[in-house]
Amino acid sequence: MKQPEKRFVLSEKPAFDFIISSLACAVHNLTLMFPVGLIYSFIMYMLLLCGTGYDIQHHSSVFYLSTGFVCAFLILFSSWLKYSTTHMASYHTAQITGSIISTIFMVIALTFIDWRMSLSASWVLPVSCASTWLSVKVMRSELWRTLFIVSSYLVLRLGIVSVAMTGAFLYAHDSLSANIFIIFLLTASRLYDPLEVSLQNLAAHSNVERIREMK
Amino acid sequence: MNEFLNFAGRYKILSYVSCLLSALSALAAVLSLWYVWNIASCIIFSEGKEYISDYALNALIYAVVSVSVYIAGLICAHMAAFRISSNICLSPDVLLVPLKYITCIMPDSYFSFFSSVSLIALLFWSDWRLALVSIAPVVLGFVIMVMTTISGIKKKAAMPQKTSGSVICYTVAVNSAFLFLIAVGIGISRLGVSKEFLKNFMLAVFAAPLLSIRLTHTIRLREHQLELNASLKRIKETLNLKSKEENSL
Repeated sequence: MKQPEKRFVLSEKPAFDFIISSLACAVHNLTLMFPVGLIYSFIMYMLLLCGTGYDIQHHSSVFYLSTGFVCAFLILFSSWLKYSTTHMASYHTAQITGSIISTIFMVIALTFIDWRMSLSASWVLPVSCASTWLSVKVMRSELWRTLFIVSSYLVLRLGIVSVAMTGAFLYAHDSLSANIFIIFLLTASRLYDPLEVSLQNLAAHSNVERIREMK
Repeated sequence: MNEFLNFAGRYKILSYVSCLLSALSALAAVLSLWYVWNIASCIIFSEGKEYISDYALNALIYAVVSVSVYIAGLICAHMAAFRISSNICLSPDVLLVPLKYITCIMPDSYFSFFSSVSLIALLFWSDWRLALVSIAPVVLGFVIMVMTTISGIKKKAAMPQKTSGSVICYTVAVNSAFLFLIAVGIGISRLGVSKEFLKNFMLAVFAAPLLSIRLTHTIRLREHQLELNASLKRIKETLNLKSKEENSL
């Protein structure tokens, strides 16, 4: 049940609003990546202490906890921003657009650390986008449509394995440092989450819409 | 759900096969993650360098198995759904809903449920304290959600709608797993950091965010399923009405 007046009731400039809400989603996704850096730093700190018998120093624990709270606050702020700018009608599209923006941003940032590893993490993204595009194109067969929409997020699960494979190869040939490998593994474990969640929601949403229409 | 499967007739078995395949897929995905964690713990302590390529290969194999088994499960569910559609003689519009629901959501729902269960099992197997801490954010988020919904019902007798406030609280709670982990990491490491604990900590770092995503998805799909049950009830009422009309004629 499409209600155009409901869709545009909040603003006279829907296109502008859509861009703003997509950007808010992208910012929210990027704040979700901050804890990865903090956790990495915490793991490295614990590694230094490991086996030495030294205790975690008081000022370090204060630092990690307070930075953690700052990250949580940023997540709170960005999710408030996301939900206050996003309208229900364009929610899923804005979420997907935002996820694509933030993931591309992350991939560019990772390229500066190591372009080979970044490439191994990012090849799944165009495949996923192509699959989503095909699911829109192939409307005739229900099975193919479902298969394409599901593979669009299934392929993202191969991303972390691809990073592990490439990293293991480069690490064995002494072409990659252990720290950068760890950074990539930790990042790849969270990199695809926003896109996976929004594609999964899209898949589930298209079904729920049908159920609501019956009422 | 089960009532609905009766429509599938002897093709009901297909939907059970689909559930089984989804569960296997979830298990393979968790195994793949476990191998990735093995790689991480090897490189962080720079030991067992010769095993790393084996671990990476295993991670790849299990990930590919997980994806292909999932797709096989989806196709099974699809075949069962087509059988349902030809067994209920109703207008195609009404049919499309349960048909699409079964095909898309059933394997998805079982996959997220079984991966949550196996992730929790893996975490408890490694360190029960970290396991509890990894589950805590979702439980906290869920409690917030329920509390706000209840207070929403009390305020106005209208349909309880999820307010953006409770959604924001839920998002923050679910994504604060890292904060809980750091706090517990500091607490446990009071008496020095052990190698064993650091390894388990890394596993929790890999598994906790994934667990909250899967659990959230399970809860969301459960909501959708309740919606389906309501519409199924309406289909049944319509069927009863129709048969009564036919009898009276």
